[in-house]
Amino acid sequence: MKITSVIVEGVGKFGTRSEIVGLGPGVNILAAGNEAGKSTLFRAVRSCLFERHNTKNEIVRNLATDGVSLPVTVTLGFEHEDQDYTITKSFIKSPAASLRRGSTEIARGREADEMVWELLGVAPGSGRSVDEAAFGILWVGQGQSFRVPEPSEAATTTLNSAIQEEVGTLVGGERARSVLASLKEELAQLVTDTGRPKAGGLLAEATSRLDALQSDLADGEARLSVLDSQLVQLGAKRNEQARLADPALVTKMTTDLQLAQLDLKTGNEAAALLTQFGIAERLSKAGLDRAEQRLDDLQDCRTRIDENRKRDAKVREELTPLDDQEQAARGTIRNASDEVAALDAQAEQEGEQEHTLQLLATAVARTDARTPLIRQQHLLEELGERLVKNAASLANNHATASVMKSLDDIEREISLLTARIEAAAPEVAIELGVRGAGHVTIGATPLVGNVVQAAINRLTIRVADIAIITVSPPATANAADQKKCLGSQKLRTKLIEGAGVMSVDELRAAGALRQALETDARGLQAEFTALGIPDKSSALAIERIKTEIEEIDTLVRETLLQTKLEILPTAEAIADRQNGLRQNRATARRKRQALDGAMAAQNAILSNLAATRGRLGGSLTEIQKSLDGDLAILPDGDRERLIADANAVLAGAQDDYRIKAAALEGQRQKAPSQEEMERRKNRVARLRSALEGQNAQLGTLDRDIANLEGQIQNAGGDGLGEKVESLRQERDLTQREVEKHMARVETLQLLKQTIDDCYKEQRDRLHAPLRRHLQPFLNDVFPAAELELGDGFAITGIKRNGPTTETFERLSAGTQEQIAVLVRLAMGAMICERGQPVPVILDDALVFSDDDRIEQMFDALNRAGQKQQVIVLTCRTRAFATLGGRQLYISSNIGEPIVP
Amino acid sequence: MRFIHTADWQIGKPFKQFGDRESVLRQARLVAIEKIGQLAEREGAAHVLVAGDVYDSEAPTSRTLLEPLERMRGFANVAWHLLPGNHDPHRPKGVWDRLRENGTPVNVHLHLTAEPVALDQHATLLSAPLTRKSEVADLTEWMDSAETAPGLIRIGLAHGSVVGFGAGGEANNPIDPRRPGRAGLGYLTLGDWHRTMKVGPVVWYAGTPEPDRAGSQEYGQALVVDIAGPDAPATVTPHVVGTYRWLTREEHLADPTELDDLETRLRALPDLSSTILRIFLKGTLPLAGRAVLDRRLLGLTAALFHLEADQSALLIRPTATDLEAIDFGGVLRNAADRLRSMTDDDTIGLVKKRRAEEALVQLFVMATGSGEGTL
Repeated sequence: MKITSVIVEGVGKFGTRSEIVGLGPGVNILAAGNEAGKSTLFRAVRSCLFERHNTKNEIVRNLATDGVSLPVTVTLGFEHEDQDYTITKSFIKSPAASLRRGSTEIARGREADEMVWELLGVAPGSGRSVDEAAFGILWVGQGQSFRVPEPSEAATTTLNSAIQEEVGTLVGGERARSVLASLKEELAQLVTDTGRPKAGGLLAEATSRLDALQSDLADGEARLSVLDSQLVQLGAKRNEQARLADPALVTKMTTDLQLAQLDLKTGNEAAALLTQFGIAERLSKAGLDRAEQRLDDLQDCRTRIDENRKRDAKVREELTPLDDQEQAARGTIRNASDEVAALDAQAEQEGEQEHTLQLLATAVARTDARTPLIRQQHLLEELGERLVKNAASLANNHATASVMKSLDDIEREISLLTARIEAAAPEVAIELGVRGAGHVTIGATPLVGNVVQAAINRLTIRVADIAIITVSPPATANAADQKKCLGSQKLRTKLIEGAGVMSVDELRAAGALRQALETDARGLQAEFTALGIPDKSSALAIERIKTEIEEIDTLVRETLLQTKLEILPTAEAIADRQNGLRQNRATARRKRQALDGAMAAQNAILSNLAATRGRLGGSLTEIQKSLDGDLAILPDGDRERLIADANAVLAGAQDDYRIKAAALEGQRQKAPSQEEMERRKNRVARLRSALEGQNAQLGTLDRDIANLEGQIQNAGGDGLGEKVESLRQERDLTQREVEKHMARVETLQLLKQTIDDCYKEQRDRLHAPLRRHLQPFLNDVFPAAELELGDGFAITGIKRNGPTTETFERLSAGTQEQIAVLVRLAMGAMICERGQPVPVILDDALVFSDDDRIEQMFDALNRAGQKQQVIVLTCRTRAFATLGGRQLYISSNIGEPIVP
Repeated sequence: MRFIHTADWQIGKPFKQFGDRESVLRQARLVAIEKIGQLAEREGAAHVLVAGDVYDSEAPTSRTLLEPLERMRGFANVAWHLLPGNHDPHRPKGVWDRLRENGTPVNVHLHLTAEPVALDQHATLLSAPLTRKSEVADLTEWMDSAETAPGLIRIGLAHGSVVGFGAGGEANNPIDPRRPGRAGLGYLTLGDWHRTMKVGPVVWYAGTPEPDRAGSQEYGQALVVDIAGPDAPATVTPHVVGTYRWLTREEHLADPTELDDLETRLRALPDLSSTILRIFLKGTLPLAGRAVLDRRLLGLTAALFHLEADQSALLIRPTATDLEAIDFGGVLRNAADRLRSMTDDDTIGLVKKRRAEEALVQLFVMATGSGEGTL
């Protein structure tokens, strides 16, 4: 089919007869702005082909032009199988239809409606729409181009019939889908999509039950193991209890202990006897020692008495010469003391003389300083007077440095302003003639010679009685300068008056005088500084000098009074007398040192004598004390008797000790040794410990056994073993159930996977023709890309860069639209190849395409245009300028009205 | 001298694989005691010797502990002699002490120590009780030197595995089968082996009176033993005392037509409702045959007390008809062909081959709608 003409009237904005001009084979483009009526024309074409002429449905009603009571009339010319046809339909009002082949009407009315469908391969039926057959795929309305082609049932049939001619059909697809659905349903009850047990499903429930059983079983087995262990322990403890409670063993242990205790007792008794003998032996030995000591003490006492009597006589001989030596030493010391007293009296007298000389020397020295002090007093008084005068002059002189600087600044300003005023003022030049002298005056001043001056102010020139000439400067010339100059002059006057003078010259003279006064002031200050007197303290200094002079006079008076002299001696006389006194003092000091040495020597002799007397006296005391003690023990009258008695006691003690020592040795031979006693004690302790340990062990065993019996009774009484065995069986049973479910899952998954694989293979084979037609278009836009198709020719994804598939939904809107259009073109090409060429109509498509991509899409559209008609309706006139093909336009008011 | 020889009652044994009918089988074990008592009374046997494993566990519940005593109490003229086994060894404060502390009926005697006990004026019982689950020594050895009054029949009572008798015993508790000769025993009453087994003229395992597992004894039995005198030979007669039959069958299938015969033979078994059948199916079936098999097994399951069908050795090989039933072509047929090729592929391993077979069966069921009524 190829559309050759479209004429409308009473359609949308085309109230009058309008035609699309330029339609032909290949690519056709109708580029017009918005509201041009392109989409209306598209809908009119569809209605003309697929709507019954007498329908009043919404599609047709929407075609009518508003406010015009004309019928909706559409005439469509088309070429089909090398025949030219024209179908004209009028809708709404005076509905009619006419189909012509060439110029011959071949059908009219309903027959015309249906004959068109028959020609185009659309199955007869009511309620035809554009979705029928291939038109639904290839006629893409406004806003539809980005949608994935979803062929209707009829369109799918058309596509499938085209494919069947090449590869056959997808056999058993529906059954396979049904089986797959059942498999998925059953699998979904068992596992999730990721293969994990489905919550609430049989497998999950069995697995959960298995986990719980294993947990219970582990707990039960653990408890059973504990029970088993307790039973074993109980058996062992019972055996141990029987062994420990064996009467023969108990009897033997008791007997052994009794025998050991007896042995220990015997040994202890022998040891006690030995101890008694030992004490007696030690007491006897002590008696013997005391007798020996008594005899030795008496003999020592006798010897000491005899020796002390000899020492007493000797000490008394040494004491006799000591008294004479002491008297001689004391006489020498007395003489030396008298000489020292005489020397001290002389020294005191000379000290007083020396003090008087010192007072006189001081007075003389102060008197020497009196004359320079008087001179300094006069100098200071003169300087003070000069300083007062200078200060007074300065106080009366106001021509300070700042005042003088201000005067200079003001006069400089006045000079500058005056020069500027004069420069701007009219210059008046008068040259006197020979007879003019004395007859010409300027103001009140007669001229005697030529004059040239600036007329700063109004100037009156009188020429005798001949004329009066007035020169007036312009009122506005230099007014500002004059005003400023006048201000400066006032300031200068005020400055002069402030300084207390009458003129500038007087002010400048006062300034010079003030500079001289300031120089004098600085000189006076320097003199004071040179005298060491701070600024402005000369009066204080003069006062201080006066006071010092008075102090000197007072000192002289007091010294003369004290020394009882009329006048002060000279300094030389005082010095001579002081030297004499110093020589006397040196002589007395040497003499005194000699006397002190002699007295120290005699005192040392006295000390030695006292020490010797003390030592000898102590010896006599000690000897007497010893003698008194010894004689009390051994009086001279009883000496021999006491010594004889001591010898007799010693002999008796020696006999007693021999007897006791022999008895001790005899018992020592009989008693067991220390080691033996230790061994006997250890044995008794060991046997007693063993017996006690055994009893304690039996007690512990009794308690342990009672505890174990209690625990066993508790554990065994609730049927633990039976319960564990039951859990084992349940666990095994559930384990098998889980395995059965797992096997079932594996089986179902294997079956599903196998059917899936086979289904996909078949579908891929079914899609092969479409792919073959799609590939050139795809290469135009997406070189080397590969499209993935799903059920019902759905686009599922595209591979562009390597093996990774991009899902269709994740592509950009522009890319989705381009791919959708390409798939439509491929479908159109496939149908066209099977002898059913259907025009491709794109209304306002490729709106999302960028400049590069739209050029590639144009290539694809032109490729499609090589074999079938492509009609592009667009409002993007510039973007579609390079599409090429036939340029269509709409012509209105053409020819005669359309009559079906 | 006539007495009953029995063993391995294992009272309290759980049967979780039977679900809500577990209690039926537990109850059957108590019923077996009554049947033994009835047998004793019927045969005029004054003593029932129980050769160990009276209880399944060392720590049964109190009810489990006492239930068999109450059954035995009902036979006042019969003396029941109980021996600890490896399942219920005698340990202090263990199951037997619990029994003693609780008190036993006067006609129930516990043999907990290795010592001669007079049964009556004709016989003495020499017991070898286990005091732990596993003994490495032969506990019957003491019988060789046990002194008994002359002229009495010496009867041994023990639980364990006869040395050299194979690995059938449950525990390593060896018993020398020559013990009767060495110890002058007129009969050695053994327990542990769950099948009735004659080891020698006077050495027998009684087997369990109520079977508890497949592949062992079909019917529960007890032995009636007659011994005329100390040197007389023992006469042993097995009697069925069990209620449930534990049957194991192996069937080979090569064609679906054999399913009719199989079902007929199985339905012809006596006492179907008290038969526990474990059937091992081998051979090869087509997909359709397998679906039919499943339906028939479902019917048999309802007829039997319990049916366990092991089809792990039954190969599924689809025929052309099977595959056409799935589809003549197209997706499902391709999938079926692919799965079939997997079942023939020896390189993928047995588990995967098995999964492929099951997937094929599943596909057949889903594609043909023949799944209703399968197990």
